[in-house]
Amino acid sequence: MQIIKVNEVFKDEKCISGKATGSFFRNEVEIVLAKTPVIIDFEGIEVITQSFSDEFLGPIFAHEGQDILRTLKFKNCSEDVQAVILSTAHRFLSDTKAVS
Amino acid sequence: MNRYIQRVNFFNCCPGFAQQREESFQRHDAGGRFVPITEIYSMDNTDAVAQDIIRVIFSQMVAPGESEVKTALSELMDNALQHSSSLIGCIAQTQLYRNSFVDGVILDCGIGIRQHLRGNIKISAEVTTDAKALLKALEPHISGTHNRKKDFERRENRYNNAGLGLSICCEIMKRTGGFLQLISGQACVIIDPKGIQHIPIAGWPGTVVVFRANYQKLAHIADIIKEFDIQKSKGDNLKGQKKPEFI
Repeated sequence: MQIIKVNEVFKDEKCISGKATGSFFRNEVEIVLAKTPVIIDFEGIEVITQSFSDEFLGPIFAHEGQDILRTLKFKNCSEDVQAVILSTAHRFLSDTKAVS
Repeated sequence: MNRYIQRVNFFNCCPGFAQQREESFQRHDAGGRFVPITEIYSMDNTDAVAQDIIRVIFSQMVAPGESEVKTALSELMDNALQHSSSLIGCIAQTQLYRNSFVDGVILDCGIGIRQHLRGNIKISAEVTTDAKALLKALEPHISGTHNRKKDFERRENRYNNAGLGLSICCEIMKRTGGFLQLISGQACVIIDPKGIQHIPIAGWPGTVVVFRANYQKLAHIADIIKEFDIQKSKGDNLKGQKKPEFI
């Protein structure tokens, strides 16, 4: 299990935004996720934008389906960060099959 | 007025307008007051541009609503660059006021909102005027790319889009006591806590978004997202859907 700290990737930022930023971060996370389960640590982050979240997590949820939730977890999420991630999961996981 | 226009680098950005006279003032640091006109050409750096603007504008204070303002700037820049097909990219300017408000403007010279929404097969028949298109664009999940005709040459197919950015920005402005003004084609609307006003204008070929937020207030973005999700969930079959785990 590897922990990826968002505030070490995006230093001195309380709000992480941007589709391109989300795409960049997804590439970083997917490299690690291919080898081991991952915890994304959002300590110190107040908000992530919907665009960032959709671009970071949307393709992962869409491609991997609900199975990915066994190996990808989230830590130290503010209420705003949690709401945005749940919204992305809701939209991108709704067409995938439930875990058997 | 001419000094202000010079100071925000208008003539550097728009060399087609002849500068009236040489600058007769000393350029002081704009930190804590305004950010001169910024030209953004690529979606690759909207987060960095928005962060730089926030750093300058709030350089002399701690503002509780800093993340809300950055959210608005970044989402609006991404929208302009992804959807407008604007040949000049987009332009941003931000101004801070001592009465706790911050104004921002994001402008492009692209295809406009009506033309963009006409590519959405679910709603193209509804957007018969610019005014209808502006109101439609403010609805959550409307301006996303998932219902669009496929055109892989378009920049917008490179990234996902839920169609929430503009709706979230509008709610942030309303909930902090500010407003969002949307201009595109022959239409202009202002949305504030009192409601929606249509303003007659001469017209603008692309899109202009002006926002005002109270940076001392929090908009509670989680509440906005949850409300949008409830609207979206109606009719969805969520049985058996697992949720992400938060430790």
